[in-house]
Amino acid sequence: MSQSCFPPEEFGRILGLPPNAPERVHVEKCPRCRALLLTYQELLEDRSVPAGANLEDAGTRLRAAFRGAAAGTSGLAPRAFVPAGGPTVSRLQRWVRDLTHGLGRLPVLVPAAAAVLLAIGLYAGYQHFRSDIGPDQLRGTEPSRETGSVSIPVVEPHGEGADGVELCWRTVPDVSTYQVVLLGEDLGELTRLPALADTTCRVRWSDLHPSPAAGSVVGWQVLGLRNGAVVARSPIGALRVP
Amino acid sequence: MSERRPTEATDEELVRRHQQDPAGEAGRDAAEELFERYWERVYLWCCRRVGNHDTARDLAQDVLLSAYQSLRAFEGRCLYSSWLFTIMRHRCFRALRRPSLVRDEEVEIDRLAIEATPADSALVEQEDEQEVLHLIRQHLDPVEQAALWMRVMERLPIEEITRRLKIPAASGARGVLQSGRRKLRAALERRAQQQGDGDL
Repeated sequence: MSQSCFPPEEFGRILGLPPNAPERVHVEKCPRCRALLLTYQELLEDRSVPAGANLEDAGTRLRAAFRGAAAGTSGLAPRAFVPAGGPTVSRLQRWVRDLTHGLGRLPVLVPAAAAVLLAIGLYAGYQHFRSDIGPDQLRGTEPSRETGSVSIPVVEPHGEGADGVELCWRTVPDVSTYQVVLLGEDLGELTRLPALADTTCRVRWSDLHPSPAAGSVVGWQVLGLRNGAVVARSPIGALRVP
Repeated sequence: MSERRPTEATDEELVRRHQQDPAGEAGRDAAEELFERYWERVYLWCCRRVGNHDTARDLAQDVLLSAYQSLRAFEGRCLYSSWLFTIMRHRCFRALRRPSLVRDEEVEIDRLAIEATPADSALVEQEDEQEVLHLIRQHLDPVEQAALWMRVMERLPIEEITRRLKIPAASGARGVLQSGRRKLRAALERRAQQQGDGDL
């Protein structure tokens, strides 16, 4: 990127300039800016439908999610994770939020208390998975009261190595594919791996961007999908990055 | 929600209306109209990158709700569409692995094995856009430059690059990318050799 290259948000303005404007001349000559302009134009103009797209389903679900957000009830969003712009809200976080809402505003203490409770929760989860419950000890078989969906029983992660870890879970009726979601220490989503029909999945630390620091804790959760909708989920587990 | 008739207002006018009264009817209508204008474009853009409906829909939801939730804070220093583009591009790329600059299994599918050189490894790990841009500008022709940048930095599928750059050859962007990468590898090897000679 040279000094005369433009950030992505500038391309709306640049597109409106005449072809002989210096900015447009630069864009035509610069592979980086030319590619950016083309992809911005693609957003504005390209309505071609690629293979695998399902506009009807996308429209229905996106509208439902938008309605939920506009009504201030993000729980209406038809999938497990909330936008990456905001952190994933756990049951614990929701409980803290509801509790503090009634107690009034304590701007310093409340976030600190929430952070401490979250850290304790993650650490407890990590310790539980690390305990000697054995690989066949299952957790979370009862239906989740939070969402009304089924809970996916997970098996203690194994095959831990420097490069990653193997996650396993049990099949759940009516689920066609499973998707692993990895969460940061703030429970914000780090990444979600491709959905698969299998009940094991190897997570490689190198797949995460940015790579988690050694010694940090990464949360993980399995989502059960049917027709693209989340119908089951596992409890959130914790992994220690070696 | 889809029954409301679209207005002639520009995106920027709709943003202003929403910001003036986010919780009021006019503000909500404005946000909804922006959503209706863009959800399909965002979903299709994401779908071309990730190649499957579920992930594209999740990404589009992520982008559209993030934009909605940040709309009050949008300062209007750029167009709404380019602001949305910036959010979308960032979120989408975070979910995709960047193809290597010098090796791409999807492109070189006909080659059984591609031996990596030390210069390759250095470049694969190279994250500095300026250095990458300098190298491809120096050694590749304009179409190869554009194709390689679109593939590596913009994560465009090969078919899309062929279409966007209107490449007529039978092999499309695949051939252009192979040729560009060949030149780049050769240049890297020369440079590595020169650096080795200089060290002696």
